[in-house]
Amino acid sequence: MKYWIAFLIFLSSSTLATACGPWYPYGEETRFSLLYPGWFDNGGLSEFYYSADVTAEYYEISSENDKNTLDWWNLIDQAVDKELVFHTIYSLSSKEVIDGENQPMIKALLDKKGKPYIDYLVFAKSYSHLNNSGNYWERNDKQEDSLRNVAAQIAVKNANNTTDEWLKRRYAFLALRFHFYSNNKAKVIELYDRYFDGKSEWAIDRWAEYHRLHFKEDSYQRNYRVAQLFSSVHSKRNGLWNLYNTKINQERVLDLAATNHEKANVHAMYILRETGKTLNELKTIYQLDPSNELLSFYVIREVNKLENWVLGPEITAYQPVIRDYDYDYNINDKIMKERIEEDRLYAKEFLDWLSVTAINMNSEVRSASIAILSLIVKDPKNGIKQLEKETFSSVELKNWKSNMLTLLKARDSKSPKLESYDLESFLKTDYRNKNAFIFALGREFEFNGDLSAAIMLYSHLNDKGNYDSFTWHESNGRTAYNLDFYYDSFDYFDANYSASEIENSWKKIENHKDSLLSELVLKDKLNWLDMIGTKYLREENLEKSIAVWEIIPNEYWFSEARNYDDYLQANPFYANFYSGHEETVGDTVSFTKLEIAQELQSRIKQSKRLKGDAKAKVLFGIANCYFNMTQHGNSWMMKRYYWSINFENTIYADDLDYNTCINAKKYYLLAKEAAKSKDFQALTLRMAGRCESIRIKFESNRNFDRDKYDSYADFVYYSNKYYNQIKANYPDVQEELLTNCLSFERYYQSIK
Amino acid sequence: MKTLLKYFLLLSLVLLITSCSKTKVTRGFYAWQSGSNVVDTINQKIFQSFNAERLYLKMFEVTYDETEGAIPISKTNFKLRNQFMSNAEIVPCVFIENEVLSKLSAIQLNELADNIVFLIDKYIDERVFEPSAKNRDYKEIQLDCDWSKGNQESYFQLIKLVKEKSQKTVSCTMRLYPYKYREQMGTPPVDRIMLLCYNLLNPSKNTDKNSILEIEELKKYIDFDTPYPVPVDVAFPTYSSGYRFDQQRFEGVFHAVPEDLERITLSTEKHLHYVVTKDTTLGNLFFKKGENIKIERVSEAVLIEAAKLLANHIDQSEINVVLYHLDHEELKQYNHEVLDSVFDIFK
Repeated sequence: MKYWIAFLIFLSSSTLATACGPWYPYGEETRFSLLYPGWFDNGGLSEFYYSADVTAEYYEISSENDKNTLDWWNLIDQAVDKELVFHTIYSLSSKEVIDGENQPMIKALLDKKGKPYIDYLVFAKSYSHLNNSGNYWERNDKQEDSLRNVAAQIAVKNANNTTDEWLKRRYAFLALRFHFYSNNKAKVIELYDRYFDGKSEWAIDRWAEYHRLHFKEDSYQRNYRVAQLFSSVHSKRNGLWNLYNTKINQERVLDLAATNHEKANVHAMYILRETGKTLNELKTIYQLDPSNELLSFYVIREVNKLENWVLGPEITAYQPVIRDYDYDYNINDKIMKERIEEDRLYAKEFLDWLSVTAINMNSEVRSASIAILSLIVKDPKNGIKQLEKETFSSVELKNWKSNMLTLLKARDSKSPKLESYDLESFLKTDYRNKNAFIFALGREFEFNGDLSAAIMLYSHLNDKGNYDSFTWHESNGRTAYNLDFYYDSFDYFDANYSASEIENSWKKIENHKDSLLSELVLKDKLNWLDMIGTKYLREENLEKSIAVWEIIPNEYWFSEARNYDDYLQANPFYANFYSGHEETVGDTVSFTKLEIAQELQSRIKQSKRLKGDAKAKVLFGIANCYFNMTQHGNSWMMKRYYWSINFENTIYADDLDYNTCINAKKYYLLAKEAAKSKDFQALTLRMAGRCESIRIKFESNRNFDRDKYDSYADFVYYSNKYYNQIKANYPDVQEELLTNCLSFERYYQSIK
Repeated sequence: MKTLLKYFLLLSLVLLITSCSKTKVTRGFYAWQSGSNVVDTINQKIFQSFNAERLYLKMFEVTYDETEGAIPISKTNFKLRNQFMSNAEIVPCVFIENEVLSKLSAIQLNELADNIVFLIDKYIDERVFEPSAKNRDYKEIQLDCDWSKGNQESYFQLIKLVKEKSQKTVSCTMRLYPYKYREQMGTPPVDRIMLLCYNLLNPSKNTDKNSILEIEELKKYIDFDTPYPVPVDVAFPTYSSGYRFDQQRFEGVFHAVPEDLERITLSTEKHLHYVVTKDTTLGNLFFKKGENIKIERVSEAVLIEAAKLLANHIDQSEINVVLYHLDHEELKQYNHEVLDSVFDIFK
């Protein structure tokens, strides 16, 4: 019974198993972006990148972004690799430090600074287990407080006993931090005031202030100091953000800032997680302090917003509405269009500011931003000009420049030609945002009518290695299957373009043999030919359907390519199709898609030659076949690759027939006209009536006049004009035919 | 004049109910906030202005961590100011995530009960009150958990353990579904329950209904007279929710709908749904033009109607009537007299 599928909720083919699961792209997964902020930042701000997630990326401390590592490295005159310094201060145990006299960093420390420095390291590591807040239930507070208190006393004593300022402050910091974890406000303030107030040259000075700020009662003062620390204390940024109160008056915090540099820091804090427009604040920060450390981050963040707001809807069609069935598209579309144009004007203002005013900004950030904004404001020439004069330093950005130039040039061309671009680097290497670039470039061709280029480019989406599951949204209000997004270009083109458009494109693709661009799609040639034939069948062009399918080798229909072996094994012409989901005697015969089409064509021709009951019987078989090629039949794979009973309103050319059996009804009624046998005439009306019931159910959507009918079933039954005709014109058989489907066989056999 | 008439009618209603029953009503509020930006003082002034006597204070939530097991999160930072709260009775509340119950063994449940009681006591001693506070005692612990039939046994066991270890009155929150279908869902071994008259519907499945409270839905759950085996307290919603229907949204659900939101939205044909007409930042929330937002807030009329229905449904000599929750931004949406009436209807 494996080929009877009407009770299946959703059937997926083997090729798209990953796209059909319960997963639905949402939030960050649907955000379109070409520019990754991590290319400009050493990770210190990664938690705050523009993202739909609460935290974009977790901050990872490294030898490159840790100021404390730098302090130790400078202490030993950079005698060893910075990575080794990082490893020594954060990863070695106290025992490994004691035993590590031959370890290069320990050795350098001993040679250059002496044993007291090793003693300090051993002390810090011995008590480091007290610096945590993993005591969730706060059970051991008193015991740990007591241990911390002892450790703090020793640390203070060591600080007092040394004249070395480095060691003095290091020990003092340890003491301060022990007291911080014991929530000992008075001691934290006392130690801070004694050892750290006004000092900022070393990482620990700033860390000390970070801890001190937790006990600052004056929220204006606290905001002011947090803002000053934020740009320079990478590892504490999340903690500092949590200390910052964006609800309190910004002007009063600004009043505390003594210099323009400090004022810029305050402005910067207020927009740290702002998801709206912040260009005015950026202008202010730049005006106050063009070298503000966070400015580059903010500029990229603003570019990322505009990518999301303008390029996202325009390229991926992900628009900000989870559409309900009854949603009013017109209102929404109008607002969306207005919104995109407003955002484009904003992007233009941003672009002008970057081009004319912000000339002293980081050059790479400025050029990359101008390039993206030029794409957004539809001035690709400007972006090309800017990129061509920029020499990016990193490998990632050099590659990005090349890809971005390709995209801008395609946008700049009225009729882009694939041959004009070097797509090797575009397609060959793996890089961040590769799917977004491929799709954006593909859209340039698709929207210019070059479908073959788009098909070839999209075939590289979500290719192995590009595992980030790129998707795009449907854009015509109805869906291909039960999903309103696309993951695979095969489904996309199947749903959105006509058979002849795909067939013509395919001919061009075959001219691109042996190229990197076409190799993936050409490997899938038989599937595409299958699709073209299927599309012709949906468009009622049986002849062309057969012509295309005849090119396909017979083995294909029995291969793993699709599930025909499982779901196309019944006999669609067999008369006793009213047997629900059980196998019939007719099913000893089964056909391939091509064979069904050929048999259908042959029967149609035959019906034209015949008359009377013989003609009626052939037409009846044709009607059966058309019925079985709808979602209610046993050969639905003639027209679909998968289907869902939950979502019927698709965008395919035969949507109406697939759901309401128009063709089957037409042929049942033609069979009635031809038949001489009264019993057979009644049977054809009975079957036309079945198609009519399906139509009524589909179109009524369970709405009916409750004053007129007792139930929905009554409504469907009594409004069926063919059932009414049976009752009126064939009164002797009406009861049996309308109530006992097992009787059909006898009526069918009334014509020998 | 209309307003005066309305309050006259309300007062008449209250007097009418007062005249035929003698229920002792204790007024209360939930304080469910965590985090450091809670403006405690304003909220506590409001608490005092309503002559409220019980503060149901969420002390922490319990979640499950793969490596650490059951751990407390979202710990309270609420500090009771003597000036406003000297007469308040604190009911420490603990929210327990459903998953916690499913993951813990009997021994671990015992340990969890120990930890819950320990941390409540610790916060009562050290965190919640000002140093000069005279009364630091509490009599009742309230547990809040959406238990299911699958983990009912664990939950009821936890309740027993908390009671045994704390030697306090133990209550639990109860949604209307387990309240009505008590046979199937079981009766938790508590001293009293707090019936939550809100969150009746799933907001994602009923996009055209107010999922906080719809009178017709409420009626379905109290269409019988059999008293609950233990005394019942009731809680009514004075909060709002905004649901953002936007693929690229940065805030899915938000509470305390900003007052100014109406200024930048247009209502749509769909009940409770609005479309943002202008890019705007309100508070910490950024709204993008074209976004569809469903705004839910229970109206004064619905609140009064719900209170009347529950007052008729529950026949007790004493009851705690509680509003969820103590947030001046939300409470300012309601007239003081209307909220007074919600309490007094039960008298």
